[in-house]
Amino acid sequence: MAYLSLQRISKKFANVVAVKDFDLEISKGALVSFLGPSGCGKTTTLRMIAGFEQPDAGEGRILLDGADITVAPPNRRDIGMVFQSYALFPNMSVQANVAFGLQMHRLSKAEIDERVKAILDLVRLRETADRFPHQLSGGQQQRIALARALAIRPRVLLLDEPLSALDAEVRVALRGEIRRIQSELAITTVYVTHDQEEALSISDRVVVMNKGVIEQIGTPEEIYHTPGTRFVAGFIGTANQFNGVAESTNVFAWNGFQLRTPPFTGSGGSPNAVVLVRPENMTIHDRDPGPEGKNVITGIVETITFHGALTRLGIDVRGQRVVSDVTMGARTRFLLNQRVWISFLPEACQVMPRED
Amino acid sequence: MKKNPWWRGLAIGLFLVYMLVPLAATLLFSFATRWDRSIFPEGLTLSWWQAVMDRRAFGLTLKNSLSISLAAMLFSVILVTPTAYWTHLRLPKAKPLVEIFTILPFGVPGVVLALALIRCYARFGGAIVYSPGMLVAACMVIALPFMYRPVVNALNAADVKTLTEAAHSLGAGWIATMTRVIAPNIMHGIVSGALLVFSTVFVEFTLANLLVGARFKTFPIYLVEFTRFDGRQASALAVISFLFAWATSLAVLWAMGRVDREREGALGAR
Repeated sequence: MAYLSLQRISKKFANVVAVKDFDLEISKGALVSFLGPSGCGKTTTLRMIAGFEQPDAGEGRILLDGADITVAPPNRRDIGMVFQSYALFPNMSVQANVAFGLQMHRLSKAEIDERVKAILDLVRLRETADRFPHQLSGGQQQRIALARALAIRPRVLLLDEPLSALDAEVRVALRGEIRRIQSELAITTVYVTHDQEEALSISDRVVVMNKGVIEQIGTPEEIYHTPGTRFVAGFIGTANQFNGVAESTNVFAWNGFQLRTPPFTGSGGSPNAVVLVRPENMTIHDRDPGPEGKNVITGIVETITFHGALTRLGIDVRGQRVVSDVTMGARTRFLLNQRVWISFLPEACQVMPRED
Repeated sequence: MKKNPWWRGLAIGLFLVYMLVPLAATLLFSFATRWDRSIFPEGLTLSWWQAVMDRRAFGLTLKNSLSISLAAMLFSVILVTPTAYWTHLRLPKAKPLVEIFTILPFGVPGVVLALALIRCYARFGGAIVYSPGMLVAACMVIALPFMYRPVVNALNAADVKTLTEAAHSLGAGWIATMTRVIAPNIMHGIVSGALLVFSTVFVEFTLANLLVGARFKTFPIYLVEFTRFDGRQASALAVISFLFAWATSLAVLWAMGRVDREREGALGAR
């Protein structure tokens, strides 16, 4: 049964739709990410859960553990929040920051002291208890903000782009830390981010949003390997999108090539469909490998971009750009303006209806 | 590039001369036996200081002015700080309107304000119109810009919205948020505003004279009375008034500095 349930909630700001008919059920202890570009409504939805924004009047409801909290004030929801800008109280020491929520919940001094120590141990920053926020690094401040939100043992933890203001190395370390703590406490968590790698790496489920509506909900693997819409396919990772014309249920003509795919019947009678292939599912050859059950297309190398562990080639295939990844060791085999052959299995293709 | 161009020293020097010469002259005049036939006083004496301080009215008017100033300062803080905070947070569109209201007192001369208050509240009887309470209220109006502006500047400098939301998410209500989170973080603005209100009200003559006059004599009224018969005693009073306002400001700033130092000191080495 859903622990946190968002039912048909919508929000407009001065006639601009921020969130529309948002439906989501989150089970207890899960970490769910809201992922999408700027302005997709993910933060607005999070703020409605926190109580900082009210959903527009209508049928929309927010239920937490069976109780309707749609109009409850933020300080009565028992929902912890971590902000992008940390929002630590500059006038208070780390200890006082973490104790603040506990004082508001009228715990005894002994209990407050005990919980503050325990939670600072959990975020591995006990030695900073007497410092003030401006004396900590960004990563430390965000861990304290996390500790402060967790100290009150909230029913739900909300994180609003908590790592956006940090540098890359700290970001990766801290996201692992957040996941560790979240799993340890089994706390129901909603995580807002525009960083797909972050969302995919720490979530139980990902909600991809665009223009105020949900594009797809699924596990990170589902979102990546079987994107539900072209938006998701384009937003998560990189996907080559071939606008094909159906010759049969599993063969599509594209740019003079025949692409074999898994059977597809979802175009509603239209002969057109999009065949999606991820760059990492393609193999590049310097001579024609022959069909042997694979799709093979050919083109000229136009760009070579080094990405560290792999190198991305931009290949001109009869006037259309196809990108494909090769590992570093193989890179030397390919040169600019070289003719190459790209092969990929029919199973590596995903077909979805064309919207045009 | 030269570090200290000559004109910088000159500008600072001229500014100091402009500020300090009148003060020094007033101070010297308050100790002068006679100073109308020579460039420097003919002799020095403490008798003018003794004369003004010996009078019973000296302590009384000082106490009256102090209580009016402190009351105006306290109520200004209590009234203006939450209003500015609420406008900043919840009614940002009303900000321009509030700004206009807060600069209106600059456009209304004290005489006009006093007479308007007397006419407006006359129906409630003299006990209310001519009371120290009315004087405090009127002084709060003229000192409004001095309280509002520093508080707004401090609010703009702190990320008040996020701090408020963080406090709410931790279970704090509005009062706890205001007193424990927002006020300490805009304290410099509140203190600056409070000091400006205190000094403005402490030297306010027009309103005090017209609203309470002899019924509740304040220090500026006492001072003006002296100017009519002895400039040297009036000078002694003016210097006392200045020292008083100055000492109060220093005391408050020192207290604020101590709070800051304690905050830093509690941390140990870093």
